[in-house]
Amino acid sequence: MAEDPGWFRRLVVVCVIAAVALPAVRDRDSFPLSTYPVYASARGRVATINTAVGYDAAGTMRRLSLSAIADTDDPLIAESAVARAVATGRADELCKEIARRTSSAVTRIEVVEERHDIVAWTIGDESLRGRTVHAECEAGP
Amino acid sequence: MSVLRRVDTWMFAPAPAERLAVLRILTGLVVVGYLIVRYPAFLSLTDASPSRFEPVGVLSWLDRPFPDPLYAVLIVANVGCGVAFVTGLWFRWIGPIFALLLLVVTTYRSSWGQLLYFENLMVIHVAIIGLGRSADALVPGRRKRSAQPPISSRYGWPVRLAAVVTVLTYVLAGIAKLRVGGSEWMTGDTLRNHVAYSAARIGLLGGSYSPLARPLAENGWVLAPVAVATVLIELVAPVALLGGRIRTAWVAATWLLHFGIAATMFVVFPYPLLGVAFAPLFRAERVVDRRRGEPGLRTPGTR
Repeated sequence: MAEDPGWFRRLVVVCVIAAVALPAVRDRDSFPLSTYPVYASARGRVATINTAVGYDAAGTMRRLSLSAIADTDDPLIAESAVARAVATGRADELCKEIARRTSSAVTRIEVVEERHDIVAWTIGDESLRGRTVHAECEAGP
Repeated sequence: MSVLRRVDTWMFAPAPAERLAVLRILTGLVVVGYLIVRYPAFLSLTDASPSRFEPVGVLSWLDRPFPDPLYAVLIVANVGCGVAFVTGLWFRWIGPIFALLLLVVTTYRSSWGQLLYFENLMVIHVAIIGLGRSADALVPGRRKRSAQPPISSRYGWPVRLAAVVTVLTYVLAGIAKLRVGGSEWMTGDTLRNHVAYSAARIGLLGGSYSPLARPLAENGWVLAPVAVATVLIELVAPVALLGGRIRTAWVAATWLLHFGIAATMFVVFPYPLLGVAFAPLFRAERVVDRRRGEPGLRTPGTR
């Protein structure tokens, strides 16, 4: 004769499945219950990417590292940190934070929003479609 | 037999204690390894500007970040409890504590303006396993045959629930693509653009991107059938619950999907890539090679 699991286990099963499915019903993303929207957008060919760049004493632009930009090794986190700083008017504050983390070869920092044809960028063609500087600060000792 | 009765019979089918215990060990090992490898990334939050703090989930009530030493202690305690979780010792306490600590530590990590999707399924699985009877077997000091627990549904249903959660998360990901991206996600250049965007984003933020990104951006037609396959794989995930070859085929296809994402976008989902996300879909006790062939083990979906 089969065991009767009892109402409590059945209730737990129903609640867990409902909890996992609920974010999709409510269209509300959170953690760890999620709508799993990662890569869900129909991404176009032109995209805006927030980042920060450095300039040396000769005025040559240098790409900064993930750790210099946002003290992380994750591009998702770095991009989010810069985008949020720009959106909330904290680009100047972020610029100074980055300046403290950059090497001495860099004398000036810019927090920028760049629009690129991302396919052109990836294959090495001219890709820049627009550029807005949100903050600028001195770096170095 | 009614559909509801069939579902009930499947969900609460009896299983050996080893099946749940193996799942405990595998999940615990992956989480402990993940926490140790990613320790610097977790700890780097202690240097983050408090203005970035945007608590989510169970921490949404917080109005400021944890004090730095507290977060460091929580991570270390999580690792310590994880080791105990793997061994199965003091599991009545360790199971729930480990699950709670993992929930807090990972939720905190997603509370800095960017929800991360690498840890969701892992956290839910640990909660299911941590609150179940997952240490009635494969625990040091409990090796006498007389102490082996009988095959029971109490060991089967947490495994089945974890399996359902696994496939459900993929279905939700498929629905999200159709809801947010629409049919264009499958018919347009979306996947090529996602690969290119990942490369451009990493490059513009000073990182190294996949060497596969350029040839794929140049030959976007290669990715058109992959886009259709991606959504199909996600939407048909429940077929994995049928077991047998169809399950194995789905798991292989899904694993390849994650491998492709890692290879082309440098986005690594460790839990499925290591295979542990799919372990509840299999007779995991096979890895310890015990009780094989005993009556009652070949329940639906576990062939």
